[in-house]
Amino acid sequence: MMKIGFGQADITPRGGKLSLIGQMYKRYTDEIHDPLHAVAMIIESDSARTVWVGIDSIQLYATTTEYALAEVRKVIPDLKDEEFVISATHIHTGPDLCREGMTLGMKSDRSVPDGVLTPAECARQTVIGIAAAVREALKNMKEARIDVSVARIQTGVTRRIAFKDGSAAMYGNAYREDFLKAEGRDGGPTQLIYVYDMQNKLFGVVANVPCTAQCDEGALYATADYWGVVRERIQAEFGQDVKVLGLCRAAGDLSPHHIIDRTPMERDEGLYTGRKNTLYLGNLIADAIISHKKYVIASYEGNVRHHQATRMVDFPTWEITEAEYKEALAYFADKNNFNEDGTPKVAFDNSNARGRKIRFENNNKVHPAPIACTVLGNLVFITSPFELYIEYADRIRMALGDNMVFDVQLTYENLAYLPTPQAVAGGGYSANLACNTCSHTAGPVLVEESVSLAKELLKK
Amino acid sequence: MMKIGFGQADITPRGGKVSLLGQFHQRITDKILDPLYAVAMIIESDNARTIWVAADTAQMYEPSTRMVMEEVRKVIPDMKDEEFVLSATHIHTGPALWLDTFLSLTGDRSEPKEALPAAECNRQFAIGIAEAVKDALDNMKDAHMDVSVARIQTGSNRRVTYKDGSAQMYGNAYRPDFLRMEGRDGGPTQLIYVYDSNNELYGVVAAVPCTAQCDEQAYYVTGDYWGVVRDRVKAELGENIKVLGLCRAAGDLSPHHIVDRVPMERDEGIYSGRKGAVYMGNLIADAIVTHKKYVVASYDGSTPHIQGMRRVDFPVWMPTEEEYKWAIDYLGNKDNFNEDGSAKVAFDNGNAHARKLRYERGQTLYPSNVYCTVLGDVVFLTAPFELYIEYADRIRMALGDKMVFDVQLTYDNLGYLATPQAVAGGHYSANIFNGVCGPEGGEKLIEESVALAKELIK
Repeated sequence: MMKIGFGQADITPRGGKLSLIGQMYKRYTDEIHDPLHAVAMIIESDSARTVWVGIDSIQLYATTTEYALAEVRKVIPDLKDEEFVISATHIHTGPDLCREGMTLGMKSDRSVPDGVLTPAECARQTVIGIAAAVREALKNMKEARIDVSVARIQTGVTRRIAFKDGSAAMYGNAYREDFLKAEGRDGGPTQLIYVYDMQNKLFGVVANVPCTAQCDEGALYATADYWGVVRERIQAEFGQDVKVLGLCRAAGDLSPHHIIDRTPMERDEGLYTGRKNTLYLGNLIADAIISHKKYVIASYEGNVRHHQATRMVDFPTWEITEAEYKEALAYFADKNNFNEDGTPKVAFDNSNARGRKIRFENNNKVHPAPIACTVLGNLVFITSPFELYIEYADRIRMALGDNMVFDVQLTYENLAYLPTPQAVAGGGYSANLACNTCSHTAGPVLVEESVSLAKELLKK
Repeated sequence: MMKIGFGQADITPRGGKVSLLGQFHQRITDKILDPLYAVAMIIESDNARTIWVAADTAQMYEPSTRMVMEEVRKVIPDMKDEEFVLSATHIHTGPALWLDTFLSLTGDRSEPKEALPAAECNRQFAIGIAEAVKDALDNMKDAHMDVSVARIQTGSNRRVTYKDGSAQMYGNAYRPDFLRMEGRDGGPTQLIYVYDSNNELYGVVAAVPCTAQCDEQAYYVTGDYWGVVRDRVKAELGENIKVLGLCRAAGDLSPHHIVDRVPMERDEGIYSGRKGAVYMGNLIADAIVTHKKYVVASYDGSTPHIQGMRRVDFPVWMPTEEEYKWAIDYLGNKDNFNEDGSAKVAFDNGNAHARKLRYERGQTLYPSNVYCTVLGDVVFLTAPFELYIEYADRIRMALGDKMVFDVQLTYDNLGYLATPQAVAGGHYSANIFNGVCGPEGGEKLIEESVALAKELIK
């Protein structure tokens, strides 16, 4: 028998202003446009258990995940490490959860002034919320069946523009005369799971969307971006008890912002930017969830095959040559690279130099991080701790062609972007040492390890 | 004042069986699942006139288009050449209209005796189009319009690339050496809602980056997803509402999922065959219904309107002498053919015929038409190709101040217009026998399209 429970809890930190993370500049606010949430889904079937929590956050850090796991164990004391999956919706309008930041070269001053909640306090409140969501899911466990569907809506679109000289830029200016093409493809369809009780009453939806929740990324308020809209619409349509677990498919080179499909009317405050874009995309996804209940491509019930596992993977870090290290030292030694107050004149150069210096001196050749796999019937959820370029997810899915693969990014930890060789050659943000833990050499490792983990579970 | 009229007429060939065009194998049928239509839209404003007809057909060829224009001139005698735009929805479940073309996929221009001849299908086609235009003319009224953009996923990239640098249309992405999709998927669907002076909707223009070939293997006549769209829109918004269905650049796209296909779809899933047509039709119709409220621009009677056309000499993809010799050798070698004379390898045969024909004819330029309609900030630009989306992206970006509706398969069919990357990767749609032009034709198309639009906008 398959039992599933959903739970939801508010994780918006309270008691002070928030320092919103997601831009290169500081944003402090005490305005909460709509609350941030954690949504938990627990699946028990075939003697296996999966406890999956999706949170409205930009990303996860290993420390936050460990903290959350410890808190969740207060609710489920026998919870095994591999049973717990945590993923982020990648909003840019929530608090930072870790002062340490990512293992990046990017200078990350995360100090906060008086009156602003610290990352540690935000993390504390977040993990309490996560545990509350899990508790509610546990309380709501019931015998369930599921329907699977695929909605062909356009959510995330490619955000890297390639030029005729071989260079590329994230959010590059496609109106330039030397514009050549979009570097990669747009996001695929939205994958959907509808969860019903044995009276055929819908009580949960899993929506795996190839688009980060950053429509309204420049906002000066806390918001769950399009997920807030989706949850409200779905509850209005199907009932207050229906929970939506929002997952982000591979979308490292995607975003909700149109570039080559932008119309001139959109350039300023059009229909598809800022809060309006949030409303548009949220309603698009909600409409798809509503209309696709009838397009069922697979159904599962009873004692559905179910396996859950994680694997620790040693991802090769972006390698620094001695020459690059020396260049970095020369950069720091040259006063001309800095303003009088010590700030760098060119942020990217500074980040690159910093990244090169730290990495060369630390000499960490690998960065270990977990990936998880959930098998449920012919459905395979595969996670990655990256902002994953879609090409790698395509390759993972195709290598597991007999199964419907839900690729989910930004789980457990954030090793930042995982670019393709083509992107690294083109350069620009997201394909740069300054903003990445790994270069494209980690891509084949991720593909191989993910496929091998899934195949291992599918053999059972 | 802006006056717009819509008209529609059945163009399904009657009086015999139909040989369906769109596959390498012959399909002859007398079954009509749903009728084929021509939808006409006439715009008159600012001393300009545009007569746009979209027809459920695989493609247009210049002689066929000229014949249609003669028929339409019986309805509008003073119609100028540049005022008339004819585009195809690119169904694969309708008749062939013209056989004698420069572009031949196999060299075979014969037609089955048991089906209606192409000339007869074309005759009926032309009459139907003239009826649609007459209907539109009879329904001209003061109009205003809203423009919208629907973010639905219709056409997906259909070229799979492998680690050795090769590519294949509909290639097997389950191969261990699968690398990536060659290009991007189709963009959003562009929409125009046309209202009368009482704010009653009576026409919709939908430019969809997806060919109407969901049900391309069918053994019946059908308008594919456009049939579903028209029925649904009428049911939702009113019986008198006409939908002018345009196909945006989609040479490297199709409605068939490859990397986004799920195993449940492989055989007879909800996204393939007739079910695919129903799914896609409903997806587009839902978007038309829901996006009425998402207005990005509105235009009324004071809107600038200009209509233009340019004759462009496209450079022909010419074979080298070595390639010509290979073609002669190939065609002279009986081992390449079966006993009934059919080719053992269709692609090789197609390449051999194209190389021989082009080398011997020596025609290095192929003239064809591109059209441009300027209506406020909206610019329609056409291409007589199955146009790889990259070229349309570049045209749109070069006209960044305008909202460009890129429409393919208009006036004539010069086949696929592939990118350099695609030609390097090879396979169907990037071969000499698939297109009159190679990538240099793409550069020419961009240059001429942008120049024409800028000239009109000025």
